[in-house]
Amino acid sequence: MANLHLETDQFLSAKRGRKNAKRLFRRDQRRKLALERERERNESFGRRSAIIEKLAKYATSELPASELQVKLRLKKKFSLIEEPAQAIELICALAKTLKLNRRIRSINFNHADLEEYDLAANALLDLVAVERNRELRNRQTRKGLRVSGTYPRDGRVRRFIKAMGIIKHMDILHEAPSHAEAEKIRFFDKRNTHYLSSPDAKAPDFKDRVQVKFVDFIDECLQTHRWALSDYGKQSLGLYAGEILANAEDHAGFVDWTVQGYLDNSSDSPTCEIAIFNFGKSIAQTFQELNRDSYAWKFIQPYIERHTAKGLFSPAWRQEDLLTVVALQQHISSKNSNVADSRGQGTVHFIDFFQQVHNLCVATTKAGGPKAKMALISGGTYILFDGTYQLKEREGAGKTIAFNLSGSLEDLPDKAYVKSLGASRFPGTIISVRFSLSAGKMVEELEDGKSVN
Amino acid sequence: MEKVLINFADCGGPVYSGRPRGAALRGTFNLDKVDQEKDKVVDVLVPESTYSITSSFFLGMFGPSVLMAGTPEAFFSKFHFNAKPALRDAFNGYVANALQAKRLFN
Repeated sequence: MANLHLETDQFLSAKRGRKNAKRLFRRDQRRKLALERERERNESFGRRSAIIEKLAKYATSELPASELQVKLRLKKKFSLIEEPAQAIELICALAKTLKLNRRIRSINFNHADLEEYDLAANALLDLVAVERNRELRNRQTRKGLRVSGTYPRDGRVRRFIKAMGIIKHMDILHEAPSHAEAEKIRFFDKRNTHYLSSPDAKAPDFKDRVQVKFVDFIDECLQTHRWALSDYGKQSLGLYAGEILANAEDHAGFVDWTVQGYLDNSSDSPTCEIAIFNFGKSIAQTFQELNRDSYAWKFIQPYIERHTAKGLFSPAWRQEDLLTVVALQQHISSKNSNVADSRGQGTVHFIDFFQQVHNLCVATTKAGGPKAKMALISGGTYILFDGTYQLKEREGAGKTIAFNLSGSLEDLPDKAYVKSLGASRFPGTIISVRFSLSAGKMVEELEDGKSVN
Repeated sequence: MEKVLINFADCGGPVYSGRPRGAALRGTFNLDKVDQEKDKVVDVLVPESTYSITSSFFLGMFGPSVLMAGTPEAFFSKFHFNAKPALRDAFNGYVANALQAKRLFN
């Protein structure tokens, strides 16, 4: 009997030993895989940030800096929608300062005077800091970037900086919003830094997964106001985000895009903000690089010729600006190679979506209330959408938007809506949207979580 | 009439976007060959849980079939879409857009 007990104990002990060994083996495999992935990510990142390099290339100035620290003082307004050239110049100047002073390992952000901001401008400024942090950590010292600064005096902006600004992006936990503040804030932040993507057609790729979460985020924002996205709203919003991200991946020649959303329910008139941006070729660049004998170039050539013949080009309306406007028209794509190609629908869908949001806001906000706005910045061109100029349907030939009173692409666009950014440029495309929460066909009222429509 | 079934539930979801993904699925379901076979019709099942299908994806997958059909009626008589109204409305728009005249000026 004693022998039987001994054999059983030995058997169980050996079994436990084998299980333990297997567990440790699996753990080691997981760690190895994680290290391998981290190594791959670091290798694709390189020693220097490609994003800082791209932004620095277009800087026209530098920021005051000591050997180890750069100081940044934001003015009252830091917004890509309202002051695009100034915002881009500041972002690029920070990138250039960091690029030229490789020993800088500290940034001081002075937000004290900041009153008017937008999500996209802040996201890009923070991204420069995040990229520098990664550069520093990839060096042998592995010490990251130090961030210090002064909060905005305005409480609403302070909450933003904590919840969605540099505090969040640098993961400074002790400065995070309080529980009470966090409860009223909704945010969304996804970035694709996979410089090479390998889509498997039968499975949703990262872009598709982000769209699902983004639609859920907007739906959640609406639900805090007892509204929800209808099936039409989900389709329209998914189409909007999907077309922008697909364009970013198909045309830019560099896969690095970000989608962000922000809603602060503590304010009297909650405003939802969306920022989508990517790095790489600008919209105009994808056309400028075309072979002059190609179908896509020949299709848009008459537009350039008519503006040249009329002597419309000037430093305020360059060929680059014209190419950006022409790319927004239906059926226009730098990738169309013959008349049967059906590309060139996406930009119209995203303008259509904004128009729907804008019209709903007009219908549901008080006269004189905040207007929905969307800014598109690509390379050196800025285009503003605020409902003043809308897409025009042409019988059987698709939609166009000319940004002028005549509605004709042969005339100059309104300079308040289509602007050359002068010497300022962004290496990629930015879309920045701001709108009040509202209702209509895209949303439906909820009662106890169920539709009442 | 011989029927071919395309069930989007087997293709990941609930969002379908990007021309490359649409074009890859066109290859997976051999739609070039199906277009040539006049006696075949295609049932496309789109689950209720689907959020959105972008025009790039749709035209990547069905664009050549739309152009081959020549009219929305001919396309929808070969491809039967079983989807919720919001998506069916979107598909009608995508097909109409693909068949429009392409010109920049009036």
